[in-house]
Amino acid sequence: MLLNFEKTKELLEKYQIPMVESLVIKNLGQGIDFANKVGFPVVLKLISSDVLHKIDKGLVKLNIQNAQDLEITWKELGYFGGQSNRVPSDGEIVIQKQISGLELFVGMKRDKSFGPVISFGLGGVFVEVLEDIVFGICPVDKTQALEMIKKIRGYKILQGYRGQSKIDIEKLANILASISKLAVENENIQEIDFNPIIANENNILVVDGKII
Amino acid sequence: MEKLFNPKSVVLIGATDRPGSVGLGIAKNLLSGKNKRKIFFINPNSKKVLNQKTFASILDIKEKIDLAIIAVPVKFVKQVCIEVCQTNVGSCIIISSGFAEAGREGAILQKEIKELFLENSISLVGPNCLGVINPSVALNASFAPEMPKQGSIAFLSQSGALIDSIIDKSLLENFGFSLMVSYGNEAGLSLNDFLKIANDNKDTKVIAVYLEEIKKGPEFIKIANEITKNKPIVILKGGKTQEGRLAVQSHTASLAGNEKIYAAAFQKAGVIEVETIRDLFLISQALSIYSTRSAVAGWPASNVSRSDAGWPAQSPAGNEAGWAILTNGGAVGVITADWCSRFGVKLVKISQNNPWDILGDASSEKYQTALISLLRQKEISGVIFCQTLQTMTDPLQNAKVIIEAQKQFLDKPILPLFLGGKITKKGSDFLSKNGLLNFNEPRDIALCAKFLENKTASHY
Repeated sequence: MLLNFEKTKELLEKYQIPMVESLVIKNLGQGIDFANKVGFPVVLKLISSDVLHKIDKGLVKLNIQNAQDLEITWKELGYFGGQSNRVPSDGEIVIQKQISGLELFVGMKRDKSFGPVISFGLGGVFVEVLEDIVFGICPVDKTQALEMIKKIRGYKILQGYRGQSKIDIEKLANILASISKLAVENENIQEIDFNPIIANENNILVVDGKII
Repeated sequence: MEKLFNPKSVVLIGATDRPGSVGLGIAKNLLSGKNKRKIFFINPNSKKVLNQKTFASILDIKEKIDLAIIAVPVKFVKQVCIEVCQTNVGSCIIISSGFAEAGREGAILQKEIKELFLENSISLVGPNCLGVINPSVALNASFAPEMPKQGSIAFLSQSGALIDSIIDKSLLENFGFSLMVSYGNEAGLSLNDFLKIANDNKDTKVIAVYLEEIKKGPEFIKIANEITKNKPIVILKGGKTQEGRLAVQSHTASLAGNEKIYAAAFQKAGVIEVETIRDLFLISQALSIYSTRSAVAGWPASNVSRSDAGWPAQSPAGNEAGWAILTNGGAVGVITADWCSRFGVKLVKISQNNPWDILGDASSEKYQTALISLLRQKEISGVIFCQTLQTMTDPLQNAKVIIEAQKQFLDKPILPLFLGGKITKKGSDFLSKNGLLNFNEPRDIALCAKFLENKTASHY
């Protein structure tokens, strides 16, 4: 079962895995308050256990620049839930601060021979076309996580390629080690898919976290 | 494990004279060690096998049995196992096939047999295997067509057929084995157990493994990680690609599968992973000849005990030590340097050029002077000796130069690359007779140099 947003957030907090500022909202007013607090642009998402590929189905709405946009988008997402202006019964709407940076992913699955295994790579074309993924058998400590990170072909990009922001590799290694810890300590969790994790010079934040 | 690998008495159930049979193959192989142990043949249907009296059942033998080998058709195996357990043997190998590898029924039978041996605390190898070989005590409890030479590589293989061919190859290429185990379906002893056995075996310097699947992954990583602190483990894993493709699913976590997970596990375990059969034995041989730092052994193995003082050596300035390439032909030096660079083998800065080309007219005397001058330099941890065949090249004499120099500088490997064929063979045969490897491909020599330098090596 896909964990709901609150449980996911709790787990991430427990294991000190940083997540982008996010909130489950029940009405538009909560959304506007949140956006005013963290600043526009924001993102709206519909999270539901039978929706795995949100972006394909248009259930992630990016680049919401102001309160008016937010209201329109709120109504659109409500439609996906089957009832206008209301949160769908089997899901929840989450509002997030929109951040920019390099897209990364971390996954975990349970291998029948080796138990929990974590995977890491750069998102988008790197994973989908180049299959630039590295695996680590849990438990993965920080040192091993650093070795993993250095093994991907796209490692140079993390170091700030062509004026792009340089990623804090130490912080990233801590996140990988924390995800390993989470997997080892919670045997009931079958799969983890944090994709994307957005990294820039200031932060490395989980933007979309699925835990099954 | 003494009863399995050095039994004082062996019973073969299913011994037969029938030409081309497994039972005959094992019977012949066992008799090659008849001076070392008592051998009994069981066959209820014939009085004699290979001119030796047979028994109708293991229950008829009144002596203590260290090892029972079962090579009867699968439908008789269970009954035979019950009898074997009644006689309380020390260990047992089930050669017969038709178990878990053959489907559901076979799997159920295998489970029953496994429990039977477990209840009676008898170590079990197989089923569905070739058997075990321990050349140091002339034990060939297998149906391999030939007996390998005694050596220092333990070869553990999920496949029995591969063992047959590797023995044949080793006899031509003059390398030997400390143990050979075809571990089959692992109903009793598993790969992990045999890794521990090979680690405890004093003759074994390197453990070579062929496998398709690791059943107890976390235990494997723990055991291998402990072993590789002292003895290198080199593994070829088959069956990587098909499963890797099947594993593609909707989640990023499953995007790439099997192959990379195994690579990650091998790295965590400190295992050297290779992709070809040739590399498996090339690296195993190199590591068995030039022991790694912590396995304190001279060269040749029996010769002199080497000081434990750090190898690769550290130069006085604290610079990291590295390799030197000596050559009489520019091209082979360049190609070798390219491969060293690809594999991350460090070529050290010296007063000569590196690669050092002593030119095509280099005599054996000139080679010798150059080689010794390189070996005397502290920052040089080993020399790659390249030889192209030119009018004045004397491969045999050059081979002698290498052997002499190696005896003088035990802690610095000299890796010979004699490029050529017919004429060069005189030199390479001499090297091999004296316990050294001859390489004939720059890529191979650079690969071995990498693992000789860095004993906690990972996948290349």
